[in-house]
Amino acid sequence: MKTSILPVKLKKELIEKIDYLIKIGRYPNRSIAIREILEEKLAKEDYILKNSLTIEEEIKPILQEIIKIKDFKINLKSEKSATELVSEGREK
Amino acid sequence: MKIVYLDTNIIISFLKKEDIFNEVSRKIMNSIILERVGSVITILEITSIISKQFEQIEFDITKTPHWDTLTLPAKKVLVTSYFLTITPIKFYFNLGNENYSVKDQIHKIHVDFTKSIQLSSFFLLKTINNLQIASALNLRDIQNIPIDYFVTTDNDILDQAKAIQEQTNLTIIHPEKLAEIEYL
Repeated sequence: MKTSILPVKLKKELIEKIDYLIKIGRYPNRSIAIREILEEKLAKEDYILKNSLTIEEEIKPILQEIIKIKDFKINLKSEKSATELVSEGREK
Repeated sequence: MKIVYLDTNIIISFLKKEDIFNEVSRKIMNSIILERVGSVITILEITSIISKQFEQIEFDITKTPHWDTLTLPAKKVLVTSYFLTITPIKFYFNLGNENYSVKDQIHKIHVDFTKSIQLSSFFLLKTINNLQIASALNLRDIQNIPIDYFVTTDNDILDQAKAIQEQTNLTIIHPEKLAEIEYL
């Protein structure tokens, strides 16, 4: 596997968390820890970015099931009124 | 049977149980003497509001299979799809393009946009308000859906209701006024 070095600044707390994960044996060193965390995150992003059709295929059976439920609850509890919410969207 | 074009604010009132117009929006949604219609721009606005207000949405996740495994975009699509499915509105899509001239070049643009451009010269509406009125007029004039009322709580539109009606023959009405005159 061809690799290259990517200089990245990280917050002190993040480094401390990574070091803790190394200490408890989750990862052997900082390099592998950061690479694996990044790969895991990117795999999720890749999934999200595939396309909306994938999402629709995924939710279709769930939707078919929940629309049969009679007392299924859905509510918007925003402090703003519906008129305000729509109007604000039209001003932006 | 009367046909009502519902502006997005009526539909969001229906979603928001504590909204000042929730009761009247439910009357409109449940009325057997009304046929409710909306357009693609309405779907776009509903999707946008649910996405932006997602943290404020109460959704029965305990009854939703696989909720925890869904990504955030998938959750948003599911909630929006569910809401659109249970809301008794028929959504129509105006199809077709018209010629529009810009800098001596003829462009083909969507009929809702050409209508919206025409309306801009007559009224001082916000762009999306303009597009909503344009969509309703095209549903009536191109798709021959005889819309009796355009129902909204938007003050920008209501303030210009008389002028819009005079110019386009489209009746703009507040939901409470609709409920009063149609005995909902």
